[in-house]
Amino acid sequence: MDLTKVPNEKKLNLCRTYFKIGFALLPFIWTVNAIWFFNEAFRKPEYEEQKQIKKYVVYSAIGAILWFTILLSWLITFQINRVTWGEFADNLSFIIPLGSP
Amino acid sequence: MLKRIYLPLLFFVIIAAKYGYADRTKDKMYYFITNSTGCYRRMNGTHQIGCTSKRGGSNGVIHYCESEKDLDFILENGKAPPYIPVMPNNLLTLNIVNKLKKNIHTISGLVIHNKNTPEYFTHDNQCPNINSNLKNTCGDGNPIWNKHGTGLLFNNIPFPLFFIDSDEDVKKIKDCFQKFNNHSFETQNERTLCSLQLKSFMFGATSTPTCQRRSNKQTNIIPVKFCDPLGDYNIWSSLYPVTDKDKNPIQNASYIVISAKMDTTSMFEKTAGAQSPITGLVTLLGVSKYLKTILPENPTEDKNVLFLLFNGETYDYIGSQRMLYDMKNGNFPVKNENGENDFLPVIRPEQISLFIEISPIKSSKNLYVHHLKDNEKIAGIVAKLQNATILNIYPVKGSLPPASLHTFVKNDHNFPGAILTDYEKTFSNNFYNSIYDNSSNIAYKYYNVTEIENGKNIPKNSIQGYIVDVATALAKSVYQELKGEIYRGDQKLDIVLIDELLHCYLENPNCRVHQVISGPKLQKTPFSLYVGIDNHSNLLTPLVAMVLGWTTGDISGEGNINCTNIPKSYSHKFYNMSESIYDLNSTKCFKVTLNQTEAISPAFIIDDYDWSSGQYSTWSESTWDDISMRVFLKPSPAHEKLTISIGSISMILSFAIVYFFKTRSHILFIPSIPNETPTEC
Amino acid sequence: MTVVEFFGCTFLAFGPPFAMFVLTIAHDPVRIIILIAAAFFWLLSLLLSSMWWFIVIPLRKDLVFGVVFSVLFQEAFRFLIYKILRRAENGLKKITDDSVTLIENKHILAYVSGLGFGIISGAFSIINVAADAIGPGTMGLKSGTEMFFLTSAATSLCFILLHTFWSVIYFNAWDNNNRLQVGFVVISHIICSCLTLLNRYQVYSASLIPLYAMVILTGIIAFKTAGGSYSSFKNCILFK
Repeated sequence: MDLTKVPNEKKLNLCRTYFKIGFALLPFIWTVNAIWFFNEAFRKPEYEEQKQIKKYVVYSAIGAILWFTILLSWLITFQINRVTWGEFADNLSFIIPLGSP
Repeated sequence: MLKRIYLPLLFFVIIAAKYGYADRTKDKMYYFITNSTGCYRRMNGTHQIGCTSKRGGSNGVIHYCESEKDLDFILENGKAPPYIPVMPNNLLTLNIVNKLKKNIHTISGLVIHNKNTPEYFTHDNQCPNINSNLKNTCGDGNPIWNKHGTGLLFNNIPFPLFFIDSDEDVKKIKDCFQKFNNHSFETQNERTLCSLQLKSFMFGATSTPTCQRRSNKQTNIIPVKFCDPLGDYNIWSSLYPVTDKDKNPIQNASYIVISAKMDTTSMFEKTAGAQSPITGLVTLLGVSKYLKTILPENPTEDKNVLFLLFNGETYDYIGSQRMLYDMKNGNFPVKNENGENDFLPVIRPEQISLFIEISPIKSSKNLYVHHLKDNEKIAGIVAKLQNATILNIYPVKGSLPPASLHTFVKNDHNFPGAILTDYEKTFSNNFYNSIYDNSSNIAYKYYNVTEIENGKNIPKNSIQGYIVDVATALAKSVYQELKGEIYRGDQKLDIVLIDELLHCYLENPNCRVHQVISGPKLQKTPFSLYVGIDNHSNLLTPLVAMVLGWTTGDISGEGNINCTNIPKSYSHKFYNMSESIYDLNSTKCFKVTLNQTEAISPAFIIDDYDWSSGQYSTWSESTWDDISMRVFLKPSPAHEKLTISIGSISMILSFAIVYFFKTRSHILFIPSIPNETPTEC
Repeated sequence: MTVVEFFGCTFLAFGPPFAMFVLTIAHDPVRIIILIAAAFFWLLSLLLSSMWWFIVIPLRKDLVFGVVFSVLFQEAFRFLIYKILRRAENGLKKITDDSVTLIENKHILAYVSGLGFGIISGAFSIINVAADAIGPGTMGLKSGTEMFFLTSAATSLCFILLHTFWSVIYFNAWDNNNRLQVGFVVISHIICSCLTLLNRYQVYSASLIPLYAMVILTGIIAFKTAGGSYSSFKNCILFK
């Protein structure tokens, strides 16, 4: 969708909806929201709804970053400890690598 | 087919026209070594052993080594690692493998080829099956049974290891090495080099419990089997029926057990096993045949003879452990719901009055009777053996070489058992569990005798003669044990039968004994004697069972179609078999008391078994999808750099040029005012 | 063919057509559609040639017949796409953003469909080699030389460029009913294809040098056909 052709009010609605949907454990929605509306929020000449859009963009970005930090640290912890955790780690895995401990 | 395709296609077809059809690019780039066998991975309760390649195969530059010096040279001066040394069999030692393990960045695999038969070649431990044996029976002042053993079979080797049998393939590799690699080693990294790809990627890892758990995991998106337990079938047969009038089981009889093992192993997928286990197995079959001849009817109902052939004994006594486990639980010979059934007696370990194991033997004038403790039973059998033979019989007290008897003695230290061997302190077999334990190891020669009176052509001092001596001595002693008097008849064990049996197992399964039991048409090469995995039955086991059935069976009538239609019961089976190996055309109906029992370690059937306890064998074999080996040319780095730079330059230049002309196309192409070019040229 | 070799050969064979695609075609959806349509027509010609090869059993062994008929089929399908494009012009005018250049300059359609022809034929020839040669080795163990892959890639590139030029000349020739140029395209196509038959002797220069000479010759003719001239070329180079 080309945002330049959308009225400001609709933009705000869209941004807010994306932000809300993100709460359903969907950090990628927040990421998309933050990137998509970044220009609207920070680089467009001021308009009425911009302040709110800015708020949603910032919150989406923070939420997404938080999510990815948590995911990344879990990923690192899991990969480091997979072998030592033994059965517990196997139960958490959907694909067990062939030929490795 | 086509136009642009024809460039390559043409190319192929064209070469095909020259060298014959179906020559594809791939065929010109790779040479497959088909006569090779690989080493694979096995696991026990706590460890993994054996070899694996990288996923997709390990590649390395060929270095053909005549001696250890050549290997050291390439380890120090190799400029184009990784290498794959190709070495003669005598260099496969623990030292060299350890050296290669230390240089894992220079070495990506190892290929062993057949040169001369070495003086010794055995990669089992110096104390085979030490973890399942009775304590203090090997080393520490006790004999070291397998003194040449390197233990490599139980070593975890992080690179692939292959064995090539064919001299032709070795020559191909050597020629390729000479042509491309074997000169100016300093500049190897600038040249095209002859290389090998070894593929033997193993799926399983770590230990049996780990890979079993992973194989059974439901949540795995792509369910994979990582490993299979080792196992096959044990064979049992009684000399006399174990039922009364074919109906009521004779409970509480005492049994004399004659046992032998029937499996071997090797570093590689191929096995041999002439001395161990074939000689022991053939001796047992000889004993059963001879005993049935000299004592066809049971003199007393409360005694019987049980022949047991154990499978998987090489891997911590899988077969005997399982049989003892079943016996103790009242599940031998068949599984019983309430510890009882109305067709076969339940046989328990306490009912075994004497256990004699025939260990693999080789020609010699001596026979050693190893046993743990003196008791009257053992003393009795030693005396009977001494009476019955011209062989020198030596009792060896307090000594138990690796054998199935360990399983029973561990259970009960007073278990009356003995092991017959041709050695006192160390194996007479220098090729224990290796591919060189072949017929030349026991100096076996097939005489192909078809008339009974020509049996005298087989020399008495051959392996056949020795097996006859041992089997006769043992059979006569058991006769005396059963009947209470010395055998005074003049029946002899036919040496031709022994000759034929050895021929069956060592040279050609389509032999006369297998024709006697009306066996199917079989492969022409000897069967593998590796125990194999539980769901993949070894073809040899049922054949051996049938032969044992033939030697111990009773003739119940003429052979005809009705014979096999006689209702089978758990205690008997009926088969049409020839009576004699000299007359294959007429058959009799044999009533056989025989069966097979599972030889899978109890560890796999006990819920919540403690895998690290070491109580039972826990061996499993990893799964894989491909074991193969091919020779190819590794392109020189210079050529690779040339290719990639030509490619990159052409790409970058074309971007620049196209961009340039595109931006200036209005100057380049004068707008063609709608086709004013001459219409008709 | 190692990974490095694979990328080297792919860059060599497909670098130039990729550059042409990205810079001159990708921006206009209509051009992309025409490119793919052209590729599809080439595939149809491939299908026909293989069926022909399959039916005429006596000629299977003689590669030359396969080659000649394959060329004829390709040229027939090139004519077919020419006809279709000329008919579709009015429709295309309506949907393209940039109708002026596309329709006014008829050579663009020819160029785009020629490139489509070239890319698909190049893809087929190189994939045929690459799929079979996958793995760690290079040519030369039993026969052949290391240069095999590089030569294959260079030949592929050569045919991609030739197809582009041929289409420009061919479309223009039919527009003007210039039989001479049509004949030139068909004959040079047959000659080039037959040149690759020389590869059997593994003297790759024997096919590569004449092929590239042909590329240059055909390129010049196409350049002139498209309205270029020596002076315009000079002006272009010298930034006049």
